[in-house]
Amino acid sequence: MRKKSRCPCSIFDGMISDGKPRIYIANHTSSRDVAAVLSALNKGGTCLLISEKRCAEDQRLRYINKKRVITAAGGVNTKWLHDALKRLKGGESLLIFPDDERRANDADDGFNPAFVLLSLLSGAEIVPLYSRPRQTVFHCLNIKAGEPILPDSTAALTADMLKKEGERVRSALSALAEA
Amino acid sequence: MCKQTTAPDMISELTVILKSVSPASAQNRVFTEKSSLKDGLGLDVTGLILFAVAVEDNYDIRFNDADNIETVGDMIEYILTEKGR
Repeated sequence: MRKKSRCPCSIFDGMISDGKPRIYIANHTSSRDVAAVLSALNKGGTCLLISEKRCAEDQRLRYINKKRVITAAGGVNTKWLHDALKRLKGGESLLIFPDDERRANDADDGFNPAFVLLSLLSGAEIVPLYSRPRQTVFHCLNIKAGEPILPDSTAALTADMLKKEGERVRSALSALAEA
Repeated sequence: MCKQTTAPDMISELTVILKSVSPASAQNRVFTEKSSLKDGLGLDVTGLILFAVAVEDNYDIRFNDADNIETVGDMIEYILTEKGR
């Protein structure tokens, strides 16, 4: 029996449903997108990974089941990383919005590529998701999934390598936007 | 096998780890216990988390409760506390 979603009617194009855990990297044009995309993905058991700061600021996120959210503290605290890896190894997928709109102007933090590290440590594919609103009243989205991406695991694991792989995913998102 | 490690020893070890994860940050940089992890080591958000993971692997610890680690000295103190448990 299908459960009623709080954020109905998002359409997926190109999603692969084989039960494998994946890391979904999504854009957002509005803060309402977070709940909408998570709701659309939730049939497959997906957790939202989001910064602690963003979670505290965004009132809408308090309506999301806390068991489905991993909050990332800043600095060297890696609890979120190990929680996220545990979820991926347990078969759950992750949804991440690396382009935090509140920090869109910060050149360094505009697209946080830490998800590449998660992919390398867990072996999970990265799937870019491009969403575009198609109806403003109930905030429905057209969500297009791109080809899965696996970072180069043979390259030396450095900050520059993570940024380079992150840019690859960012380019894939831009390509979906233009398609 | 445990040995008594001193802060200068650990700074050397952390320097080696930093060079492996962010060669650009480690270049021509000398840091002390008072150096901040972000400005002193020249690490951005990505570099910091990668450095933390590399330090965890090297010392077999976890930065799970590490909310107040701002400087190299804080990190060394945390590592020594965790190793002593």
